[in-house]
Amino acid sequence: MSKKMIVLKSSEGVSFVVEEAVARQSKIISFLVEEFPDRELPLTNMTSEILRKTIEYCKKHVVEDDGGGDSSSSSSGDLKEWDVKFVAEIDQPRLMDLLMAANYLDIPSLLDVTCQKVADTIAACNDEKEIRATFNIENDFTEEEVEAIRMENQYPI
Amino acid sequence: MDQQEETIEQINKKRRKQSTFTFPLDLISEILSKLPAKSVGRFRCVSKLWSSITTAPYFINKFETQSRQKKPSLLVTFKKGDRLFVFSIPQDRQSSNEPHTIPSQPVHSYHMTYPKSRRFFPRASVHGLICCFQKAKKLIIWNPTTRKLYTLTKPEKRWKYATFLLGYDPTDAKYKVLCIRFGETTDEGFPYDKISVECLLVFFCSKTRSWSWFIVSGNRCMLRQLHDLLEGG
Repeated sequence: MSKKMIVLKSSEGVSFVVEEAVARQSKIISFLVEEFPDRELPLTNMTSEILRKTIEYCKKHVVEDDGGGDSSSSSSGDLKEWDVKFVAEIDQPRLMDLLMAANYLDIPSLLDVTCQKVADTIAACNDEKEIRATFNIENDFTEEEVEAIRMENQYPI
Repeated sequence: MDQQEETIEQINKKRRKQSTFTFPLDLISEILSKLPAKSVGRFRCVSKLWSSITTAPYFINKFETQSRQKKPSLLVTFKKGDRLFVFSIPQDRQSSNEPHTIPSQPVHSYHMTYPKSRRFFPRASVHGLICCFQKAKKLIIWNPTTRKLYTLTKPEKRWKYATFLLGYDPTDAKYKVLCIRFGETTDEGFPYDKISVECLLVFFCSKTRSWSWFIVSGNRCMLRQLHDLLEGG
């Protein structure tokens, strides 16, 4: 039995042919497939690179339903390990893009792992200056304000 | 192919220029809610936006709910010299016949100086708040994350014997302290049998910071249920 395939198009116009079950992990695509069957789905705000990464994640996480009930392609422990490796290999700006893609396509599990990775990066920073530098955040506090907040949330390492 | 590489290069350049944290608010909130509690407080001074997100009641609520959904943690407290330590060790929910594995999650540790003027002993914890007693007269609620101690004294000074129980009331999302007064002839421990009829239940509300009074007739069974309920958190 051949599996139903759908076509996703990146912002550069590159087409990706994916199995429907893989793509349906995105709630948005799931909805679009039902509304517009047999149509190419343009994802104009996603680069090919990010779309490829997203598909790679979805392929790994697809739950194969062969009629004999749900059977995941990997055990949950392996999958978790794979997730950790998956986000560890991505650099900061691409991780942010992937996070945005997960949010846009509504893939809760991918959003969860990417958010967790960003949170881990934040937690690993030594001070607020390092965070601002890592994430390009502008400091809009005055010295006095920073001091006041620090006093309130005192927690020396 | 060359053309494609060029576009990717252009995109990367553009990406480097724009701020990576120009995120929708709900996503920043989502990320920050995954931080350990210690970091949330420490990093409030990153920007006004972070500060306002992490102090909003919505965020605090979400943060608390999320941390409760995580694995249950074992809290271990001990005193060494003049320091008081707490270790929070995540526990795996495993079936009992499987060998227990050491969790890969980090063990969070909190510490503070043991106040010399007070002698208190940790007894129980509710959502990470640690309930301590000082000579069975005062209740001290210790928040290891903020390193703050809240001391509660008996609602009435003339009460000779009283016991305190800390609990969380999910119906109005408040921490409450139950204080039960015993009959004056009671021995130590929790002798429900000897509780006098004029037993009083007093709740301390964390928001209003005041005691509310309920006079309850000494129903032994009901008190035991209440006790179990509150001990269970």
